Amino acid sequence: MDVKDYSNLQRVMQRFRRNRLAVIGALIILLIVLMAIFAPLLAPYDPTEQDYEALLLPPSWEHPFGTDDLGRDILSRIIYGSRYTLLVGIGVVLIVAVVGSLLGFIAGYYRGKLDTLIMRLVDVMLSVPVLVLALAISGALGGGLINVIIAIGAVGWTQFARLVRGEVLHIRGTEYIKAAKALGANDFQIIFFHLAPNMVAPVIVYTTLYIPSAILWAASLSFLGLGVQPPIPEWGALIADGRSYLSYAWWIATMPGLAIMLTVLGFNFMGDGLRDALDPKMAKDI
Amino acid sequence: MSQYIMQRLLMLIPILLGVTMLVFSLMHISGDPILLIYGTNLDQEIIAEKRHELGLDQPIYRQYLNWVGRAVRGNLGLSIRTHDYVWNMIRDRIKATLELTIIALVITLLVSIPAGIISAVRRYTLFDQLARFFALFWVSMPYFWLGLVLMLIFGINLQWLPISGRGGFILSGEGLRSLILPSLTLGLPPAALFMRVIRSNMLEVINEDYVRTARSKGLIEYKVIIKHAFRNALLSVLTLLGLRIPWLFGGAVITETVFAWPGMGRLLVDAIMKRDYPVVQGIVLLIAILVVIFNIIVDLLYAYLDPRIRFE
Repeated sequence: MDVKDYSNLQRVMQRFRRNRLAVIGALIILLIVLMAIFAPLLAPYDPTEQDYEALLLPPSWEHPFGTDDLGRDILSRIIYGSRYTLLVGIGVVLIVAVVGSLLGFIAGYYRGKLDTLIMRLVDVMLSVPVLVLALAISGALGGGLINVIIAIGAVGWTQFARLVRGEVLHIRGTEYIKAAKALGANDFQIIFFHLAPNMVAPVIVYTTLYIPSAILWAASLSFLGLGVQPPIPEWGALIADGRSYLSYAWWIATMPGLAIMLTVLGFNFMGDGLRDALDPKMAKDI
Repeated sequence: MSQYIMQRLLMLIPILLGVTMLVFSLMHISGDPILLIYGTNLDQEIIAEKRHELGLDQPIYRQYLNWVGRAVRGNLGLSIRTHDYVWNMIRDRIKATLELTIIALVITLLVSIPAGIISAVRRYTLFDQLARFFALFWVSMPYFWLGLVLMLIFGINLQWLPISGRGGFILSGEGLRSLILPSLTLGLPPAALFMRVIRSNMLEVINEDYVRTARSKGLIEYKVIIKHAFRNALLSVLTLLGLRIPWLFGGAVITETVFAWPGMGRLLVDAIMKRDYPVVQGIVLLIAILVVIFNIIVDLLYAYLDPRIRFE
């Protein structure tokens, strides 16, 4: 019998490909990434170009998603807006993954007073809703893309720290770490050769599952007027623009909302699929 | 049980102290309070005088202690913009926020528990497939967008329900009508998540030996599912509930803004826009206290349902 020798990565990819929803999620994300990269080629109009002869036009062949109160094409604004949405999602996740992983690692590995201090800080931060604190910080720093990323990143790392600490505590107690210690391995060797490689999978999964939350928080800040500022066509801000025209131009607020939902759905599908593919034991029938 | 309650209450002290430090630091990252209050046109002497009046020339730890000392006595300071007492501004709005969040929570549980149980018991049937399909969409929806869509359908097109404001006491007809759309907006997205978790846990529990034993004793299916299987799956619902409570209040901020609901969330957004930081501090502190209180209630329910927790 011909037995194939699959590498770990191949096995993960195989399991991922077998999950239909995960593949759909990955395709959605790929489409949105391509849309963001090739926005100038794909967008039928300039997203900031105002056309006073095309104010509040409903969806048509000429403007598939309609136009807004300044005659700007909604489809073009959504296509360009994908850039900001992805940028915020990835920017926030980079901050929370680095800060949260580092603090969670320190807390879980060194334990003692440092652990108590970090985990009490996490408890305190978690008792205030992320959005409330991010709103307050964003208000203090002022709006804008970078400040939104900083505001959400500054409060969002806590869940990451908890997850990483839990994983480190679990791995720290395993036989192979004890064996490495007994063989005389120092902290550096244990952290980089034994702990870190085992942390990669849960951190990747959590990172993917965290992006939707970051996107939704950023869109919420922009919707409330405390995030990315006009005329930047961020999706949350586009919904806020359409709010006043809801009764006679429903498309202004509805279309960007669908774009947010689709993106979040894509990341959720992909995150769930990655989780199941990287660690089938974690897979649950939900 | 009383010892357990005491332990939980004592653990609150460091958390609340930490929250006060966090909230206090908000004022200081927003810039010089004097310049926020009086603008940049004041003379240096007057600025120094004002700074002394407000105690801002004292060391930071003393300012913090003074603020905490006043907050403990219910004095959260004066609004920079309206010069009203912050507590008076918040007091009138707590009821509206609690009304909205509690009804939203009831909706979450009323929708998710039966849907989760039926989905698990009738696994892979049409109901299960549909419920799981819709759940995936609900969890991906931004609150504010869902609010606008509900407003568009039920308020503007069908004209069944009011689209903004609070119609008064919850038990009055108008009060209840005005609460329907905001509480659905806040309650439905988490219901999808709860439903998925309940279904998944019910599926695990449903094949356990004690459930089989209950069936073999001749108990009717309803009792097996509710009294034996669901009671154990309920623990995971409580865990999730504890984790989602901060989200509930975060969601309330958005929902109140969308529906012009006169609660703390809307006041918070207004205060942040106007850089009225004493009001922001007061509301963030109060929301944190409410989250902590809700979490204690969840912990106590957990201990009530699972005696092992009490004896640990």
